[in-house]
Amino acid sequence: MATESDESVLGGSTSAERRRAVLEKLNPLEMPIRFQLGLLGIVGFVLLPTQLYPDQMGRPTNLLFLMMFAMSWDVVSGYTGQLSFGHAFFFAVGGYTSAILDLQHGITPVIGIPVGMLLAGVGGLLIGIPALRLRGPYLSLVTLIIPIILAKLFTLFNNSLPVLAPEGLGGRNGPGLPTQLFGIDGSGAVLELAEGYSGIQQTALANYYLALGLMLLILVVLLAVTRSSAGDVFTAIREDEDAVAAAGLDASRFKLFAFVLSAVVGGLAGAVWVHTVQTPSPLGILGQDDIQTSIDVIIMSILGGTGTIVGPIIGAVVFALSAVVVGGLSDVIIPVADVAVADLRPLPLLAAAMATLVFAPGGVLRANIRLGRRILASARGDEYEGEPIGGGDSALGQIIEKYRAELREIIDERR
Amino acid sequence: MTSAANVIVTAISISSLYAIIAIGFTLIFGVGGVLNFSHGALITIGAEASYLLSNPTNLGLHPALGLVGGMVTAAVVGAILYLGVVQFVEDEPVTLLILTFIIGFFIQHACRVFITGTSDFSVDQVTPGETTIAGVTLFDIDIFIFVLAAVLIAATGVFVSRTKTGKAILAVSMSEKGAAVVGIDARKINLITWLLASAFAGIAGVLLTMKQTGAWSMGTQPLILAFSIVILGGLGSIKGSVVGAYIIGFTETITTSYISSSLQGFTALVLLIVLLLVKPEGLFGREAA
Amino acid sequence: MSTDNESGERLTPGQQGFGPSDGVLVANDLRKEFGGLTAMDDLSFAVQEQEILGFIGPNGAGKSTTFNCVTGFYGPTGGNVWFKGEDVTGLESHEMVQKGMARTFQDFAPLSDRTVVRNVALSLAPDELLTLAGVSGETERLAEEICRRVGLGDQLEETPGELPHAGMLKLEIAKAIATNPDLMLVDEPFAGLSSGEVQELTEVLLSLRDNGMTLIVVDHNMRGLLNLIDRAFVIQFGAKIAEGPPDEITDDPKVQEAYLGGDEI
Repeated sequence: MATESDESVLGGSTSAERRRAVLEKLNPLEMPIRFQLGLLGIVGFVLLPTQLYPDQMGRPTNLLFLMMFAMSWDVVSGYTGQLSFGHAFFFAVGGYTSAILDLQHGITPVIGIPVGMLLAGVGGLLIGIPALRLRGPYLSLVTLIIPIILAKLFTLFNNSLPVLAPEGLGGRNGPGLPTQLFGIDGSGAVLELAEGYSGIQQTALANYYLALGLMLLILVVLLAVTRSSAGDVFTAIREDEDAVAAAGLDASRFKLFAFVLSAVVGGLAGAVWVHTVQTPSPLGILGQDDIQTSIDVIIMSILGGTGTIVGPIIGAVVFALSAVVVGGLSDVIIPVADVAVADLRPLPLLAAAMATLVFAPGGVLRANIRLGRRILASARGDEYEGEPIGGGDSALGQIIEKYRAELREIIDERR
Repeated sequence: MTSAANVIVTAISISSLYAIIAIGFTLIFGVGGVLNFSHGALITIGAEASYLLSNPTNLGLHPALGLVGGMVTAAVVGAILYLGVVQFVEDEPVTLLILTFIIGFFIQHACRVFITGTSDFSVDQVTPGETTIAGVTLFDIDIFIFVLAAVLIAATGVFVSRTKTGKAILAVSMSEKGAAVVGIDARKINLITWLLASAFAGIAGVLLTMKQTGAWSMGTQPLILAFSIVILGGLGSIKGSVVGAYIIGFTETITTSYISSSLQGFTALVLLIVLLLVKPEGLFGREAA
Repeated sequence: MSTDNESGERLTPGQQGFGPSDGVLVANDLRKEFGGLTAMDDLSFAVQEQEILGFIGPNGAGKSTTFNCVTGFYGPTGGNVWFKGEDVTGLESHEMVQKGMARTFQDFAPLSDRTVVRNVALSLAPDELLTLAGVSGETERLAEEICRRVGLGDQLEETPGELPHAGMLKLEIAKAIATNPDLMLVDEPFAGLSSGEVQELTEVLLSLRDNGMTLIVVDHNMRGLLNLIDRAFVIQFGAKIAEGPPDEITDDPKVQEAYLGGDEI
């Protein structure tokens, strides 16, 4: 194909050029403001534990996992437009694999976590391959019911699953608490820390920083993939698969890759989750009715902005903050209904998600970048002319377009 | 072995409920192109309303009034949904899909927060008691559900094929443009469809509560089954929905009765996945309209 | 210039039909049926290297079907396609492109979410999953160069929606060029263009041929093609009715009959 020979036409060693370009982009002083703000946010996350007691660390740690899950959804659904309504399936495959290996086969999480990640990747293949043939609503249905089927399997093989899980999958309660990665001295954790209170402190910090490191790693990997030409191909698939084929690119391969990458990331996060701050159980991982977590992930991505990778992180923060703020209002009673504001959860969040969908389908990230640009422009005395490119058509708008085309096809076929 | 007759009766009664839920779901899709994921919440609404009306700890009215009240409440909420939200984003199926999903969660959580909390609730049956026919003892509620559903399904059939409004619904479902040409107000047709579908969901919610118990999240599973049924029977097809409902209902009842009760909601979904993998365009995709 | 007479003789299929080595692109007894409908009826043709073939036929003659079968968007019901001596029958469309066969779309398929230059850059993207390509901007520079060559130099940062009709055509051609093809199938390039624009585009296509490319230009009539093509191949009802130099073809009685009462040839 074209690239290799064409690059040499322009002269210059391209791999050296690429490396230089990558390095240039990583210089914080040269970055656009929004990247600098992003770096500042990361610094904030690094420093956060200095402001909290160990027993307050659980929520922020959990939040980091939610971010990973939301990013993993975004790379397949936000970028390629293949909507998944059951992404928690991958988190559960990763988490359960590692937990069962630990509890019933005596395999350390250090090995179990990568195995869980791989198995989730296999799950990605198993869903990604049929997804190539399934159009819009059919894919939605399949992804929606896959985690439900998984939860039924947990119940069906409650007491025993020959060879794989001799003691069973534990039904609604889960298989039990697996070995923790970090714990106080004598707790049997993989890495035993100090004794007593300082051990608890260290455990909370270790869990937090492990999650933060993992989140950043996943962020970097997904940014690298989506900002390389593969990301352009993903978004092109969302727009028009024929155009992708006409460019000599195998759309199926890229779609499958997005699914597997997403599954691997979700599986990794899910596996680490159960060895740090989450108990493996259908309610813990899949959520209410076995679909809540999957929907939460979508809500976070929509809040922050789909098809951006960074958006879901911001969406997750909004998600968590709203829970904290609303949860803090336990003394404020709504008159007439006689319900504390705190007990309204998750109604305000759902309302915010609805409002975002209707009024700012690009998500708060894009809305704020646009707002920021307008402010900068007016500070310079210029007129802000709107997004030169890409800003007008939100990723969600394109997913919608793709879906609509597929729906039309289905409707037309029926007639 | 519980008598085969009993299993069949249960299967028929459950399938009938699924059928009226699925018909509403498919009508809304056919007419507006909307996959309405808040349909399950309308089931909950119907159930909660009947609980408020006819549970002895509340108003304690006759269960029949609870049934009517559940139907009306669900219909009103459905109409509000259409007029207040759906009609503004009608042209954006994915936004609408996710939006109706979130609305559904919102409504169910609101029911939990404001009405029944997390505990199960019950309402008295319209027709308590049992009847023995040819040595088989049947719950009257099952007979009632079957008869009512059959009447509703038949009435829907007559409605869309005989009445002017019903024919208009079919016309809109065939093509909005065509409907506009013959002077049909698509918005009005949509509203009627939402009223009808929501009323059906409300009735199903009350009947489900009478047959079993109700809970704030009770709508989710029927929603997923209705979606499955509709995909199975062909999106937008009324006939297909009824057939699909009976296939799913019978599969479900027979496997849970004869193999294991833990298979509840499992076999039907697995069956559906397998079907979709073999025939990605749905069972009756093309033929049934 | 390809030598019409020389190739013309070989291009008439004998009893045994065409073989893989009869041209850079060879179709032999290519057939496509939709249900009971035969859209392409055992069509055979061969294109020589650096030739510009005009593929002509009235509306509904089966041009698009042939086009789609050759480029892999449809699988043919029967027959063979050889490209550069290799059997490529039934390969997928992206594989055809990778082998060096590019196409343009008659109804244009630009990606409306990105600029002209990034539309072209997509064709330069490697078919690799994990890559740093695109990060340093060298593909973007190459894409800019291609845009300039087809006359889109001033519209690099516009979205396809802002382009005039002729600009969309140029973009289609730029996207095809960016895949570095040996053969390019161009679908109705002159539809809706002014004579000045036709002239400009003709020059672009001729320069591509001078750089070693083979071209097949599909159109429903000969308007604008006379100065471009070396040979015309006329089909109707999915079968060949005439072929030869463009000026002779217009006088062919069969061709005139096919266009009777309809378009001008």
